[in-house]
Amino acid sequence: MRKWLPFGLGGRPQEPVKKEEIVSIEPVVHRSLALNVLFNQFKKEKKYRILDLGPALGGNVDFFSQFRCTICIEDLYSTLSSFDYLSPEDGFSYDAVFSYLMPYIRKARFDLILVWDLLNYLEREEFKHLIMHLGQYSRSGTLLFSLISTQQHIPETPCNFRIVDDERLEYRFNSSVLKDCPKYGKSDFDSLMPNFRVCNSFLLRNGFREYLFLYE
Amino acid sequence: MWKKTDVESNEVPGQPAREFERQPMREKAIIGPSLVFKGDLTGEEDLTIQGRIEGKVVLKKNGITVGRDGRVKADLYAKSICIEGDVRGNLYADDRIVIRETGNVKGNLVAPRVKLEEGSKFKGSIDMDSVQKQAVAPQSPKISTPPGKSPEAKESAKGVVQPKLGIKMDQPSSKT
Repeated sequence: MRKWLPFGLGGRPQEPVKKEEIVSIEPVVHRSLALNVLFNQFKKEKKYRILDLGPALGGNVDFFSQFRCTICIEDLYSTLSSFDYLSPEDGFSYDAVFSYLMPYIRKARFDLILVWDLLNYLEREEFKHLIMHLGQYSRSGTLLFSLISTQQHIPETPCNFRIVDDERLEYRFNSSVLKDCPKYGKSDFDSLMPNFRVCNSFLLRNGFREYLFLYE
Repeated sequence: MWKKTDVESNEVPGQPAREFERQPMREKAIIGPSLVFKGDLTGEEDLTIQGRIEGKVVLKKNGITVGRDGRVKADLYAKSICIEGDVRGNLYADDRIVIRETGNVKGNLVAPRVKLEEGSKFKGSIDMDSVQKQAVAPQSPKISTPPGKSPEAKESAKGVVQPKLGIKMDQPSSKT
């Protein structure tokens, strides 16, 4: 069975860009303005429901443990990468795959969705259907945090992000090989995530733009 | 079937132990690597699992350790739980849950304190809300099978079967 997702990209694996000036894979800590905005809104007494699409990192769990919260950790990219999927001819549908992998109860609503840099690794249709799926578990006011690369190339696989504190994020690169970046921008967000609007965005010096999207 | 070991002793190497100084022995049961247990297991002593268990383990006043060789498909209820091996199931601890770097857990965790060590693998939900932790009813763990790997999974991927497992989110939230 051929691999269809992911996501490389949409079943059309790209040749990695083999450049000499490969990114360093040493972890680096950067200031995160979006996290600062986000956690300034968090209140100790409220219970939060958080969906983390990244891998389970102890540091992030430790950070969130200061709040009353339920965290759901999906590690979506590695799950998708490790599975074989049906091709569209076999009756494949994005909705079915995402519903299968993230089968929350119907009335589940998250307060915060941490997408990290995953969107950079999705083709437009994948992007759109993932956001549609997440929209089912969002309510008015749900925040979605994402890092969109502004660079020509990105590491071949998503980074891991560890929250150091409420204004610093550690980037851990999993690959030193680069690939092309789709460079999603505002017009893409308007068409691919119609129920979310940009609430805050911050251009960072490290080649990412941080976004906080608000579900309406 | 059960091996008993002393886990606490006042003995000092090179010196004879004096009985009156000894602390009460705390017994610990071990399910060895070659053992397979299916069913519900309850008791009042600490347990180390190096073998395989399927079912449910309830040791509410004690600790459960799933060793590196341990393979568990069960819900675990204990005072504290430490995972070094492989677990598919929900973990409920009154004190804490620790997943060591060799641990791999798919399921839901409910405990006031949860620690994931660097390198550990986890998928599922973590409920660290001590107020609600007692009220959570056991649910099936979310164990994903790729949609393309079994006939049932194929049906699921086509939208025929909609699995409804996963996290417990039973109250609408107020705005952030």
